[in-house]
Amino acid sequence: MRKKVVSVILATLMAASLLAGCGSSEAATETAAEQETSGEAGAVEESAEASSVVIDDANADASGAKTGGVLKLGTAQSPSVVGYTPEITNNSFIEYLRCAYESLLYYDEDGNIIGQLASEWEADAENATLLFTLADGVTFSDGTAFNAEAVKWNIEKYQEAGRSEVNNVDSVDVIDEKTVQINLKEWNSSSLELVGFFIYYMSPTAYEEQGVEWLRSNSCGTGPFVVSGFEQGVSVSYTKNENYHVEGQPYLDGVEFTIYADATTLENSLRAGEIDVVTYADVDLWNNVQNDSNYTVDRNANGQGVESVGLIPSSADESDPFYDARVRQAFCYAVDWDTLVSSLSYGLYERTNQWAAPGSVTYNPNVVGYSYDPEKAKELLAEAGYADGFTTTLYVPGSTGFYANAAAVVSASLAEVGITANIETVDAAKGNDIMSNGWTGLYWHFASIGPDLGLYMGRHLDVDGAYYAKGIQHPDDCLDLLAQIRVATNDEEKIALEWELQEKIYDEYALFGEPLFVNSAVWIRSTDVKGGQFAVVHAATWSPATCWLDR
Amino acid sequence: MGSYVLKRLAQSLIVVVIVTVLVFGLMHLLPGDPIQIYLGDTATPEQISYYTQMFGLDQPLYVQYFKWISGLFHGEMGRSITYSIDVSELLIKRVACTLSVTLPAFLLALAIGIVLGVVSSTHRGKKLDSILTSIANIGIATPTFWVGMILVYVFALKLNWLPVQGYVSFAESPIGYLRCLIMPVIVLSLGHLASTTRQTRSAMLEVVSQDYIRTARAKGLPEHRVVYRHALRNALIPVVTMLGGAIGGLIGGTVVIENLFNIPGVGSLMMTAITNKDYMVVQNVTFVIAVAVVVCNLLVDILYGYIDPRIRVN
Repeated sequence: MRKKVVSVILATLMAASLLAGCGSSEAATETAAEQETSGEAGAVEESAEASSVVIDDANADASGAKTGGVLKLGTAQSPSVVGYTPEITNNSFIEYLRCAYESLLYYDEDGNIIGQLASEWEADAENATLLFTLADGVTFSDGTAFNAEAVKWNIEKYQEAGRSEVNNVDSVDVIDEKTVQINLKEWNSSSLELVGFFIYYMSPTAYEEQGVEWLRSNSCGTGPFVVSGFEQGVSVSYTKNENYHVEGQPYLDGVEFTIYADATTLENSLRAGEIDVVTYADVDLWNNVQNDSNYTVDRNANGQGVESVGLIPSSADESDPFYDARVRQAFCYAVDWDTLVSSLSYGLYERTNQWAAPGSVTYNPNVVGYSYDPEKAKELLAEAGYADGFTTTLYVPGSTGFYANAAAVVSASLAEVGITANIETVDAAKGNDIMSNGWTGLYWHFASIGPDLGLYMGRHLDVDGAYYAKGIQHPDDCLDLLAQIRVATNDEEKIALEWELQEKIYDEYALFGEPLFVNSAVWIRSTDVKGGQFAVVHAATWSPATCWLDR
Repeated sequence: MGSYVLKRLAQSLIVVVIVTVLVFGLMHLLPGDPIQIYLGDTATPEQISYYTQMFGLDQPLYVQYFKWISGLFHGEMGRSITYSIDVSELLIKRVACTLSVTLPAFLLALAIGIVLGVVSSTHRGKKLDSILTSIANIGIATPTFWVGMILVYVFALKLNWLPVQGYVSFAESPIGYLRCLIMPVIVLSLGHLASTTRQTRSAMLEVVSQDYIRTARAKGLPEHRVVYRHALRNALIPVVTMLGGAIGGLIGGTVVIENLFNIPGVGSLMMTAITNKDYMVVQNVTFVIAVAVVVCNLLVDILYGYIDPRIRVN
């Protein structure tokens, strides 16, 4: 009898556990936001007219926007600094930055450059200068004016912090109150976006009066909100900037970010209504809510700010089998990548075969890539002198989850063609060491694949790149193409060169191995959260000023 | 007793010094550059230099070590790379959160565990003993995160009685504070409660079979006096020993609980710091935990003397 009672209790608990692990399975309408991709170049603007300081938000029905309320976001990204922008170094923190700060330029949903704090701009390739005319009526949240002197001061602060975005800036000339000219050391086709999008303007007065330490935990920008509370690793809260320069905005009274260490807790919190939006949702949460009518899935479609995940073989050392391009190609042919990605991501991740999201301007449809062909892999290995195969190491960040599961499949597939890939689990610090200082074998390739190869691919392909560069070869013809992309003076020329580089890197050299999928930076929001352009113009960001709650 | 305490203090100090040397050395031996981890793939040599100088990592290792140690004497713990804030400031908040969970969990485990252990031992072989022993076994065998998930599912998602996650300070809202801590405290205490129950039961069973207990009963003392005055006091020695060791377990257990309930405590701080190789946070948290464990063990040793005067004399 006693055994029976215990059995019943255990069975009940196990059943409850299973229920807890399952998400809602309520069938509902498909709410994922599918976006059309951009066909326009977003590279060099010879001369551009102002679009509008007020961001055009396709998601917002401005006429019906309700005011008030506090939007609550859940995220795994924890900034160390929220107000001193030169020290906010990671792209994933743009979601915070955009609450209190703005940049000279922004993007529309097709990925085209539009103005934000600049009303006009001109990029002069011949003289290597960028000329910005600043928008009228913009003030910082402390009431001081946003002007050309403030732009110069901010760029100099970024230079002091050693930021890559401004290492090509030679000097800044204040032409007048509203006009500023940035003199580049040399023309670079990425400079307009680097200076225009990645510098967020702080009030020089606030810095002088309050000091850098204050600014690290507070804010004083031109954005729609100001930091009202910041606890490192826990939460960041913002309240409305009463001096915001766009009339009637922001609609919300405040914004609160809560940082979560555990994905299940994040999902439970969303389902319990404790948060309204999840930024950078993982594939499990995406899968759990995609058919739930209570939530909307937002994904970036123009390629701005998206990342990819792949597997990259080491190729720097001549004694490494992967030094031979045929071995790298054999590796790519040996695994059924389509099935692997589809089965491990519930069919949600989008495959790519190059350094770009399909449909973005740098995506070259002529890149052939590597379809599953183990016989071809064996042929290539034999040609390269490895008919009997070889042994290598496949490094995996973590012993469970997507990477561990994928590694097991890859290792088994490679064994079929004679390559023994021993799986070695590494922690984050070791993984970073691999990316920074090189490795022997296979490692995961995490790459920002925004539509500007001169900028993003250069971070890994350049000889002195910060990540992956020490573990791979740097073919001269690829570096030449990279250099040409950087000095290109018009969009057509730049894109043609970028397409050529994609073919060389992937079809000819298989230098970065196999790019598995685009990590689309999925945002999930409760359906009563309106506007906000979540991930629409850039995968890492949103428009807090235009977001409102339909409650 | 005074010399005994002094001797134990000196030993504890040596342990703490060894811990600081080990944690400092091991952290710097691990692969990976914390500045590079912080900056990611956009890092430039100028940026790396800017942050390396800012955090004093450009100095020789022995200088870094002695700066850290001398800072501790002044109450300065250095600056966190990940959080860009003084570690002492960070730790004060985090320790408060962790104590909010661990102290009630510890006291709950202690109070209920001892009572259940005594009840179980006094009903040896009876139905009540079987039930309590079975529950204690289940409590020990059940993973805490699983219990936590069940509680969240039932009380937060289905009944909506308690929040899924978070921490509210007592000063901010006493009711919010209690609501957010109910589930974490229950989950964290369960395993220790079960262990305490079992340990008390077995210690009590051993003691009640001793001659002096038989003598006490023969003298006609009431049963509750025999149990609580004569038996329990002696049975508590192994229980106290186990509880001293449980302090470390409770701190370790908070890592899981803090992640599950998104409580910003020392456990979750340590996890993030290790992942990011945040030297200062790892070193200082280890130092604080080492001091806490050493102090607890010292207190346990002193407590022995009060529970059993024979130990004091020896």
